[in-house]
Amino acid sequence: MSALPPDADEFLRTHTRTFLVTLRPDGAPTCHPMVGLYHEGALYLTTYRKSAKVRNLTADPRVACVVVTQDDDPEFRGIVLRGRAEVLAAGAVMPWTPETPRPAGTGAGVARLVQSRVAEGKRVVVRVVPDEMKAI
Amino acid sequence: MPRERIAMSAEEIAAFLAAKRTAMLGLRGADGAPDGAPATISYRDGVLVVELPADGEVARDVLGDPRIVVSVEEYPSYARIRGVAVHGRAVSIGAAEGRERFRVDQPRIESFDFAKMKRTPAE
Repeated sequence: MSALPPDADEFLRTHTRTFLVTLRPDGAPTCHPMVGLYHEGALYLTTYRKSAKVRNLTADPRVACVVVTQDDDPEFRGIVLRGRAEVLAAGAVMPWTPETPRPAGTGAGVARLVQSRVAEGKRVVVRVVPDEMKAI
Repeated sequence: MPRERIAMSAEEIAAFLAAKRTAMLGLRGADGAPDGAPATISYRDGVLVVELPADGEVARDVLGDPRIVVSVEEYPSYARIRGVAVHGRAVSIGAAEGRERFRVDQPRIESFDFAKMKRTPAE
């Protein structure tokens, strides 16, 4: 682990591949691959309201998010954000912007489907505000 | 979604893990809070081995609290996302060439394969 590079903010805004680490009820860590959107100093994720992730982070909001390149990237790198997660109130939206890269093979249809699930209340938006960030 | 319907078979999990060299390790840091770090893995004959930089922060934390999860995923497209998570206890099996090696004991495996969904999600 090392100090943040000067382009950390740009890296986070242009990479969405994210692993969310939460604590299970028995205290052991668990890890979920997700899409994370970095916006104005926080990372935003969306998942199903009834998911294990939401249960875990509601019970213990301490989380780690690791934002990385693809595994086969010759310059594999990433940034770890450790902090606290909160489930945002109904009406929250994922901060998609025109510069947000979409994951491979993921078209606007998926984004619309996800947002409609958020609007229905089946999915929630989770915001992670980092207390600590480090490069890997 | 009901995970059991999109889980991989034991054979699919073994083949998936055997083909991967990079995984995301979930652990608890020295402060007890969750942490994550990439790790090199190998999977052979049902045994998962994780390699970490020896004497590094992550290896020290795993030695301090061996409860870990090893997450491997691939995302060629939304409809074909696949992933495996191996929960277990890390047991040090020695260090060599600057790498600390851990065997994942008492593994409990979860998996998902979006291609097994009955209805293909919107692209």
